[in-house]
Parts: sequence; structure tokens; C-alpha cells
Amino acid sequence: MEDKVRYVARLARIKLTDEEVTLFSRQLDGILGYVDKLNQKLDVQNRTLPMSHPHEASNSFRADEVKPSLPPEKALSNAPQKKGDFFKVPRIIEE
Amino acid sequence: MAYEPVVGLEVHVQLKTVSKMFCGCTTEFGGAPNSHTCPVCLGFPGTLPVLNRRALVEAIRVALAVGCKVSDKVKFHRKNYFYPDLPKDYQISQYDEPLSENGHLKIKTGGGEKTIRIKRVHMEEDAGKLIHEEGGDSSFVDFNRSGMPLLEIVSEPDINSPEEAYQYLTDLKLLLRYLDVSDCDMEKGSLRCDANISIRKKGETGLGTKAEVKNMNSFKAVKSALEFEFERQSKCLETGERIVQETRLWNPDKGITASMRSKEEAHDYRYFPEPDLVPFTLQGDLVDEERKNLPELPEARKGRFIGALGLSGYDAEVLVQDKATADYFEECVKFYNKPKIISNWLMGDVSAYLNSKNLSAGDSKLKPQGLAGLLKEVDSGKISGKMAKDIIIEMLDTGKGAAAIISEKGLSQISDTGELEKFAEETIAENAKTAEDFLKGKDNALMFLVGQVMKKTKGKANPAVVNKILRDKLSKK
Ligand SMILES: [Zn+2]
Repeated sequence: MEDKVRYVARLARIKLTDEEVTLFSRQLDGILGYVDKLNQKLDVQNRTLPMSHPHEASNSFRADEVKPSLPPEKALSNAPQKKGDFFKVPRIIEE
Repeated sequence: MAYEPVVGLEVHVQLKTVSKMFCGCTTEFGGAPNSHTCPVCLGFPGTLPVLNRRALVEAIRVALAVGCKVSDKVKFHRKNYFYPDLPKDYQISQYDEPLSENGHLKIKTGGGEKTIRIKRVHMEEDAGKLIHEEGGDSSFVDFNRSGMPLLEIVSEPDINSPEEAYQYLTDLKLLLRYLDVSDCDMEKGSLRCDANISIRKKGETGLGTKAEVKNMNSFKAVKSALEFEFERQSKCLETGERIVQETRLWNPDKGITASMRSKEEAHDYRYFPEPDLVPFTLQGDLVDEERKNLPELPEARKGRFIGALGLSGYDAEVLVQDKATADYFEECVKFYNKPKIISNWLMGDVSAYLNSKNLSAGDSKLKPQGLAGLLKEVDSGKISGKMAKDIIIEMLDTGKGAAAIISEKGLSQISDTGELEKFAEETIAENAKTAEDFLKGKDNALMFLVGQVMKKTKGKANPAVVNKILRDKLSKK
């Protein structure tokens, strides 16, 4: 479990201390073990489809109509870094 | 050792809507950086996406046109990854219940028709655009493109040469044009293509390790990149070098692909259902209606041009390849019912002119009715075919009618026998030797005499009439 926690933390860009890894591993083990009881008591493999959405609603559309956008200065107002009308970020591609 | 490439293509097409996929921002190209953005497409917390119905309808049309089975139930998933052009850190895409699966596209190859299977056609949103600072360590992000509605069309690895890849893209683009669901403009990024390529010994059926090639901005670039990759991988196999699964970028200036080294982790997207979008049920009406509304597609149209309008396979093929020209052709036929003659003019003088000016048939000043009018003047004998070739240029330049140009320039062909007889007699007198040659059986001699009469009339004589008069006069000698 600790390896999994470290891996998921890396995927999610979350920095964890060793103590946190131990703590979360223990907690996640408990949660997953609890949910796993379903497998022991019920035949969920064949009878029950995974539920992705708890409510019944479906087909909620909008018409293809243009609505006003934000003025760029407003769109950029929360940006930690900007240049002109651009968001500024650290360079990613290595040459 | 003979190898063959095994290629699958992933084509991204931007759908033709006026607003984005999940918000009301405009899809207009260009615009100042970040001026077409809102809390939804900037990924602000607490915002909710709502699907653009037109995007879904267009996606269904494409799925149907390539023979895919459209799912009864459509679900969106989050594809999670970190990249600065992706404001939510996930892309709304589709995963295990895509819009549609299992279609195909028939393409024309040197060896006849070939069916390329299409694995799936699904919807997803576009990311923003990154601009890398020259020499610096920053990048700049423009989110105008973020949330544009895209269709991803994924082929099976059924393509076995760079030429086939090129043809697949050409035919797919034509289909999309006919469906009127995308501008298909690679320069504006409304059509993009990535290629998966591996190689194997000819005759084998397994799949080798593939490379994913990106950054190709034209169909020609796709072809060149695949040619390069095929050679590179062939060399690897011959020298015993291992082929690694990787993403490679096409460098058009150097004409090579190079491994894309990135700080990114190996891809593990951790797809999960997008909780903010309820599932869509497509049973019945919506899909049936779109199936009924599908326009005539290129293959069917070509068949009709051959079958009902009597065009040759080649002519039909050429006309159908450009929707605007094919539409133009059909308009002309309404006014002048000689399809073969129209197609000759369209594929000859008209397209030569339009190509030289970089115009589409739809933009031509010469309208279908105008072309029909000109051809009727030729049929009536008022002008010769040769004169028509000059007149049509003026019509294309100015949009004037044929009759107007003919009377303005006094271009009417002389068909009046009395007038032409005078010229014929003169010509025979002046060219006694040639006349004699004709009587001795030299048919070419007559052509020369016809030419002389044409010259005297400054090209205005009706050559058929001149021919007849000359023959009559000479035979009476
Ligand atoms: Zn928006």
C-alpha cells in the first residue's frame, strides 16, 4: 500500500512525508478493506453495473449560442504570473 | 529483409460550432490572447460544464458517416494530467463508453480500394495554446482554444504505407467537408493528426513496438514523417538496436523526427467518470433523425455523376474531390443539360483560372448560369469554341454575361454563307497550289485553307461552315 500511496501522490503532485505515507496507507487500507466486504457478501461482478452518477437526470444540453466572455484583465486577475494578456508559466519542454 | 510500416492515425477535428463545447465563449479563430475565456473554460473551481447540443449532433453525423455504431448511452470521463495548457488539470474526454465505435473508411490506393477500420469516434475538449519564450525559461498560455469542441477519430493500424496515410487523411477530410462539420484547416489547427507507427517483416501479422509521432502540420508532413520513421525503425531492426515506445516530434526544417524528452511522468491518466456531466441517452430520435439528414457523401455522388449524368469515372472523381466544384457543376447542369461538356470546361479553363487566382468555385465571378449561357452561344453557332475560350476569361474576370461581351466586342461568329463564300473564293485564288494538292487527295491542304479564311475573318468565321464551303467550291473545280 505504501508504494501505491507514493505513486498516486506523485501523479497528483502532492508531496508527502514518510509519516504521512504511513498514516494514509493505514487509513486507505481500512477504507478499502471496508468496501471490500461488498465482494464477500454480494455478487456485484455480474449483477450490478458500476454507478457513475447517483441521480437520474440525463441529456442536459445547452443551445449553441455565444455568451460574453470575460475581459482578459479579469480572466488574468488571479494569475500568479502574467505577461501582457498571457498567463506566464515555467517552461516545460526540454530542448 | 523487407519490412512494412503499420500505421494507425488519430485525427482531431474541431467541430463547427459558434460557441465552445461546455461554455458560451466564441469559437472564433484569433482574437487577443485570453479574450475568449470564462470561468468554465479557465477551469475555475465551482463552475459547471453544459454540453453544446450542436457539437453532439455534429459528432453523431461523423460517426454515422463512417459507419460507426453510435452508443445508446454516452458518458464523459476526466483524463487527468498536468500540463500548463490544461487549466483544470484534466481534460473532459471519453473513455470506456465513447460516442461510437467500429466504423470504417474506404480509401483509394494504387492497388484499388482498401478499407481502413475506424476504432472509435469520440468527443473531447481542446486545451489552450502554449507559446515558448525564445531562449527563456518561461512559457505563455492563451486559453482561447481551451474548451473548443473536438472530435477524435481513431483508426485501427490498417494503414501500411505513407501514401495510404496521406490518402486516408485526404478522404477523411473530404467526408468531413461534405458533412459540413469542420473547416478542416490544418493551419488554423482545426484538423490535427498524430500517427502511431511500428514496423514488421512483410507477411507477419503481429505488431512491433510503436512510436507516436506528433507535430505534423500538413498531410504532406504526415507522409514525410512516416517515411522517415519507417526508415529509422528499419535501420534499428537491421542493426539490432531496440525500438523504444516513445513520443517523437516531427521537425519539418530538418526533415526528421526526434524523441520528445519531457519532464512529464509516464502517462497514467486515471480516467474516471466526469461527475459534472450527466450521461446522455441517444436511443431513438436524435440518431435516427441525423441518419436521415446525412447529405449525399462523396462516394454516392461520384456514382450518380457516372450513372445518371454520364461522366467518366475520372471526371466524376476529380469533380467530387472538391465539394464547391461539384456543387457548381450541378448548378450548371440545371441550366445546360450537357454534363460532359460542362465538366470539360470546369476541369479545363475554369479551374485553371481559379487555381491561378487561388479561388474556390464558390467564389467565382462567373456563376453557373453564366457558364451555361456561354455554352449555349457556342451551340447556337454564334461563337466558336475557340472564341469561347477568350470570352470565358473575361467572364471570370468581370462576371459579365456572354451575350454582353459578344456584342460589346463585335465577336459574333460569321456563319453567313454569302459573306464566307467571298472569302473562300479569294483564298482559293490566292493559294492555287494548295487547292490543287487537296484535289490530289491531300486532306491537310484543306485545313490550311480553312486556316487562311479564319485569318481573313480575324477568327470570326464558323470553321465548320468554312470547311463545308471550301469543299463545295473545290469539288466544283
Ligand atoms: Zn468559456
